[in-house]
Amino acid sequence: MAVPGIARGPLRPRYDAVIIGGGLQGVALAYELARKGMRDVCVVEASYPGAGASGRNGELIRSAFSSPEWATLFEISLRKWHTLSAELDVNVLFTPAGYLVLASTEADFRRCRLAAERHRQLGIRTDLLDARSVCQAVPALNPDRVAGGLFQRDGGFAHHDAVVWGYVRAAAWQGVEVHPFTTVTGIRVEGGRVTGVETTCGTISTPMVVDAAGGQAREVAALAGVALPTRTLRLEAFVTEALRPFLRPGVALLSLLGYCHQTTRGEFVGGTEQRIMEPEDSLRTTLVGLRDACQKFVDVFPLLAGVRLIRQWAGVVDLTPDLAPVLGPAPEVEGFWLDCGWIYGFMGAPGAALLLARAIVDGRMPAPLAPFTVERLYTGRLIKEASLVVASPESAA
Amino acid sequence: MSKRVAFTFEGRTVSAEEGQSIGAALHAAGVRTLSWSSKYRRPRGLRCVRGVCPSCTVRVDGLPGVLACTTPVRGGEVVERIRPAVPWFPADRLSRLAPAGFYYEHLARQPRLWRRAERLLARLAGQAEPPAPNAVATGGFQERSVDLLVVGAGRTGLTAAIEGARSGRSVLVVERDYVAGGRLLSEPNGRELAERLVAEVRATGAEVLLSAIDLGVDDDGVHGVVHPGGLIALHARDVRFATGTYDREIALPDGDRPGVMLASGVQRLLVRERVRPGTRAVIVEVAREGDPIARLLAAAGIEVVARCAPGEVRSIRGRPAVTAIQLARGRLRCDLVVVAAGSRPADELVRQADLTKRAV
Repeated sequence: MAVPGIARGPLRPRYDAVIIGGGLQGVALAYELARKGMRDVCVVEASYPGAGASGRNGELIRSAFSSPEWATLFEISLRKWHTLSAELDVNVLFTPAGYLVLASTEADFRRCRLAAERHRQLGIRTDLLDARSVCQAVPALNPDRVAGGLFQRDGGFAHHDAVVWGYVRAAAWQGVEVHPFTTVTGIRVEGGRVTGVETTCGTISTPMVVDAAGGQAREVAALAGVALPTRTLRLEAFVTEALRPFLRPGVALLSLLGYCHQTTRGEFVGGTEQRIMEPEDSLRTTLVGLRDACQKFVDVFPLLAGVRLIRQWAGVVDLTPDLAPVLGPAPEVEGFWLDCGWIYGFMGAPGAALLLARAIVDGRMPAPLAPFTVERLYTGRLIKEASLVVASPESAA
Repeated sequence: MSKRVAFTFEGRTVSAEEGQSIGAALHAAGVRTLSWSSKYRRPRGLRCVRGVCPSCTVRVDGLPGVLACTTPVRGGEVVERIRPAVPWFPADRLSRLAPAGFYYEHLARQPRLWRRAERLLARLAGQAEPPAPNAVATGGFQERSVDLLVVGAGRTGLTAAIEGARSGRSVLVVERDYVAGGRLLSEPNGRELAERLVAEVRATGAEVLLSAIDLGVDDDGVHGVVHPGGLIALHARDVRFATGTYDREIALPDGDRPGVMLASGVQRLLVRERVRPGTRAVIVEVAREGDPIARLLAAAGIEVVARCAPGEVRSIRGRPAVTAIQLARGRLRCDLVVVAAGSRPADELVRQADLTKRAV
C-alpha cells in the first residue's frame, strides 16, 4: 500500500543532497531545499517519519525567549506556523490559543518581567500578567502557585503527526524522496569532502549530507569524523484521559520545569524535568519521572487529582552545552551540514528549515542563523538564554 | 444463594450478586451502552470484559475513568455514564460527511474558520468532568523489595508464586483483577482449583496484591506498581510475567456496537459472573476457534443461530445495541455477536522491558 509522501521505489545511486533523519527537522529542510530549486533531495530515516522526538514532544509553540538570538530565530518560525497549514495544504491543527509562562514564585516573576522588557525591545508581543489576571485567564490553576505570568497571545500548539506528515507530503510533491526504515551505517569522506552515504538499503553517492538525526545526531556526525560536544538527554511526557475543556493556552511552569496543554479532544498532555538528570539514551520511562510529573501537575492544577493517565512515554534529544541548536556547515568536512542539538525543535523547525535551506542553496548564512553555527561550541562563546524550561547540564552539577 | 448488594445507576437501584463486577450487574439489568466514543459518539458497551479495552468506562462515586468490567460492586456506590458534552449532536450520523482524518484535509487555507471550528470541536469532544474532590483517595508511596515478582495471578502465576515461596524466596504477586485466579474463574470447574491455588499461595507466605497494575520496569530495574493503596516502587530480584493472553480482534463493520463481544469476555460473563450475555448469539470465528464458547452458550440454553467466518459479515445492525447481523447468506436476528479469533500473548510488559533507544 502506498503511503502519501513515502518513496515508492528503491534508493537511487545518486542524489544532490541526502538528509539523515526523517524527523520534523529533516523533512521540513527537504521541503525547503526542494522549494529553493534543489533537485534530487533524499531523506533517509532509520524508522518511520516522526518516530523520534518529533512525535514525542510537548507540541508547544512560542517565540517569547529572552535572548535576541533565540527570539529572532523562533519569531521567524512562529510567523511560519501561522501560515503553515495553507502553505503545506494540510491542516496541521495549529491552535493559536496562546502560550503562558507561569511564574510560581516572586523570583520567577522577576524573570518574566525582565523577559517582557526584552520582548518589547525585540518587537515580540507579550503581556506581563499579575497573579489575578493569570488566575482569571486560567481558572483551573491553584492560586497558591501563581505569582504572575508572561503571556504570548499568538503562541499555541499543533498536532505533531499532522505537521511531520504534512511536510512529508508537501516535500514529495516537490520531488523529494523520503525513505523510511533505511539506517545509515557510514558516511564517505574523501579529501575532506563528503562523497556518499552507506545505508542498510544501499550506498548513495552525494556531495551534500545533512545530519538531522535528533537524538542520534552525535553518532551520525561521528560517522563523518565530526565530534559533536553534545550529550544525550531523555525527556518524559504523559497524557491523561479526556476531560471537558479547562485549559486553553499552552503553559510552561518556569521554575517547576514543566510544560503542558489540553488537546482539542480533551486530553491533558504534560511533561516535567527533574533538576538532576543523568545522560540517558533509553526510551523507557521512569517511576521518578512519573511521580515528579504527577506531584507537580496536581499541585498546579488541583482538578487533575484522580484523573487517569493513559500513556507515559520518553524521547531522547542530543543536547549542546548551551541548549541551543547547531545549524550550519561542519567546518572540518566540506558538504557536511548540521541541523541538530535541538530541544525546542518542534516549534523551531519551520523557521530553521527555511533559513538553513537558504544558507545551503545560496551559499550565504542568513543573519539569524549565524549565532547558531557549531563553532561556538568549540570557542566557548555560548548563547545565553534565560527562559528555557529545561534542567541545563550545568545546573545539574 | 449468595449475598446481594445494590448500587445506584443514574437514579435507579441495580442489585448484584456479591463479587460481581459493576459491568456484569449492569448487563444483567439490561444496560448495554456504557460509554460513547470520543469523536463520533458511537455507543460502546462490554467488549473484552477483562479490563483491557476502554469501552465500559464509567464514573463511580464521582471518579471518571473506571472500568466497569473489572470493578467489583461494593454496595451503595453511585455509578453514572460519562455523557457527551452536547448530547443532541449527531456526530455518528455525520461521520459520512466527516470521515476519520477529515480535519487534516479541510480548513487548511482558512485559518480563521479553523480557529472557530477548533473551539467548537473542543466543546463537542471534552466529555468527562474532572473527579469530584472528595472522590479522590490520596494513596501512599512506598518502596519495597522482593526476591520474586509475579505479574498475573492466573494458574501459571500462582504456581510460580508457590514454587518461588517454597524455595525460600519472598514473593509478591500483582494481579489486575479484584479476584485471583485469572481464566480459571471463567472455566466451568475452575473456581475450585483457583481457590485451592490461592490458599496454597497464602500458606507459603507469598503476598497477592489485587486490583494492582505493573506499569513496567525502568532502567534501574524498579517496577512501578499502582494499587488501591497507592504507588509502590518495587525492587524485584527476579520477575515472572504470567500475564496470559488477549483475544485477537477482528475488524467488522459496526463491530464496536454494544453486544459485539470477545469470546473470553462472553465466557467470563456466563461462567464467572453468572450473567446471560444475550439470548440469540452469532459467532464470528477464525478456523474453529468458536468451538468452546459455542458449547458453553449451548449448555446455558443460549441459542447459537449461526457460526460464520469474518468474510461473510456484511453489516451489523441495531442502534445503539446489536439487533441483527447481515451475512452473505441472509439477515439473522441476534443480540450477541461473539468474536472468536484465537488469542495472542499479553506480552507488552516483556516488550517494555526490552525497549531500546531506536523506535521502530
